[in-house]
Amino acid sequence: MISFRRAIREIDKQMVVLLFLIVVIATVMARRNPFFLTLYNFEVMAQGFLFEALMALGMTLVIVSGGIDLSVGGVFPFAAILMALLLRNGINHFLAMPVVIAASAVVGLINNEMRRILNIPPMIVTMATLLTLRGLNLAITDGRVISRLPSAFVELSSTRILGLPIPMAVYLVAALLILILSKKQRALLHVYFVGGNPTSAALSGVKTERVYRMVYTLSSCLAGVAGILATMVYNSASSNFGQGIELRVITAVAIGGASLTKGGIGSIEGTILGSIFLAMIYNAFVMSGVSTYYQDVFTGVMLVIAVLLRSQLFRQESH
Amino acid sequence: MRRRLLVLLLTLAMVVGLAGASVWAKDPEHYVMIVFTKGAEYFNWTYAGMIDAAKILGDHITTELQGPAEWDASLQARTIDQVIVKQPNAILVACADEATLVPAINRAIDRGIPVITFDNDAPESKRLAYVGTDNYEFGATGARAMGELLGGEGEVAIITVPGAGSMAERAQGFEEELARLYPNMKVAAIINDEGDVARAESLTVAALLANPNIKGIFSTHGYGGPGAAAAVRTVGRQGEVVVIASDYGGPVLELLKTGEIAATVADNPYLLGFQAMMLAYQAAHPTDMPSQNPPFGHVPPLIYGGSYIITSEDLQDPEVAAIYENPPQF
Repeated sequence: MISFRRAIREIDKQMVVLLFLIVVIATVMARRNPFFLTLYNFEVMAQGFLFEALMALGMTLVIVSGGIDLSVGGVFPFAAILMALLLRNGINHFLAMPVVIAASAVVGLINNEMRRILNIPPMIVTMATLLTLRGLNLAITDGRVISRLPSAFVELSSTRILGLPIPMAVYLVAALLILILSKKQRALLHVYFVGGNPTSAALSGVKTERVYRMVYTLSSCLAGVAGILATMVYNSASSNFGQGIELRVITAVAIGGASLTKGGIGSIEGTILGSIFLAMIYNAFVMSGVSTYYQDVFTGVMLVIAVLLRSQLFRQESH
Repeated sequence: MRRRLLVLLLTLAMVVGLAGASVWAKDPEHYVMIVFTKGAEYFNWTYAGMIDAAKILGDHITTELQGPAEWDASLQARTIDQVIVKQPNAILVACADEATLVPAINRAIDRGIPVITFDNDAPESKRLAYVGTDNYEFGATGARAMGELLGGEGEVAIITVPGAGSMAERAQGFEEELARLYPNMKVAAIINDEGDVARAESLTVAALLANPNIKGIFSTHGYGGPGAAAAVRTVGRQGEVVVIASDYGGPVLELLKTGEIAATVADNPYLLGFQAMMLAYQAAHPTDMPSQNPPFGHVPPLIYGGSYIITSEDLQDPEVAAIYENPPQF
């Protein structure tokens, strides 16, 4: 059996390493590029990984529960397109937003039901949903971008809440809320229990299916919110939005210390750090003018290191 | 006393030297090209054009190629925002679609960075100029080649994807130019292959069997040519049916060499990148004469890079073939 306390201590270690790396990269970049340590660049950096970061919060819970959700890469553009279409048909944005989030929730429910009824691994189920939605997005839009959205909605893209652009404010609220709940609230604590050992969780009276339903629905909803924000930021929506976004989301979660191979391990604060790390990496590559090809090489290597670190940790503990 | 004079003279010489150096050497300038599907042969040609234009303009100019490897407008918009932070002298953008990049392009302009679009435009943005290809003229170029190869006689087919967009403009240009120059020729069939090479082949086979009078086929996109050539082979009419393709992707080049494709119409990505760089430089250097886009320099709002014909004969020359077969890589 895994010692939970020991595992949590090890995650802290990984977070210290991550924090150290973030500081090192920031220092190196600041010396190389005078614009790196500017308030403007911090905003650009954050905006550049915001959708991934938001979706990573939900993905963390799915991964901790022992599953994975690839379908967010289809939900994200789907929600953006649905939002744009509703707006184009004269529906007020405050009405359209809950509709889009509800539609995204339905996708999450379908994922979970397919997983439960057909007893197929989450990776396969959500991959099927990803492909289906990507095809559907193309069919709905005919491959064209939807733009010319109502000006009342377009104005939101330059609206600021307490000096922050709306997407950033949404992320901060969501991250704080889920972070606090993941430490205190029973339903979210059960995610760890179920992920760590579903049988013993069920035996102790945890309604495991309810936990699974919650995490897949939440993951899908957050992808839907990210899609709505994308429509807001770009004043348009297209089926080509979010190519490979599910992999960047999962990478952020894995670098943040969640285990892709074993449930029950991972944390929201780790994922937040992982997101900051990747946001900085993507920004640093453009800032220093290094070819973006190496950006993927770098994140791939980071992912392998993170996963190895995690599985190595378990090998030490299992004997 | 003497030594003091020497020191004074040396100091003076240094000051003059430094001042002189800063007068003679131009301030460094940095220009960034942002594409989508970075790594695609087409955009490597545009960047090759940009680099050569920058060389002509001087050693003080540096260039950089940025953009996502995916066809993802949202990722490209983020790249533009990140490049803006670096405050380059100008940005050259090939837009992944006409709408998504508009806010990012406008942010660049509002921060005093000139933006020139090329290949794919964002007409509703504040970009200063667009360097592109006239697709109507592209189709018309194909029609003139077809007329010449067939001696102004016979029926032809067009492979295209109907609707709006560049392919429809190419098809229209082809039809109208053919009707204008060659009254004895007519378009007997329009084949919608949905941009798919296998569909192009099967539908062209059907068209050729249904109408033996078809003597020429023009494709408005890169996959139709190889599909049509395969169809001609299937019905055994090589040498009787002239195939004119579009662009010069690998399969088209191979079939041009064997002669199964007689000619291809090409736009000029090298020239698009070259011209976009020139316009970016102009925009970054305002003159005393007030321009239409203050505070930026003078640029024409639209430039076409033109279309031209590459024939099967052209590619028999190894030097010419080498240019197309060894595209630049970055």
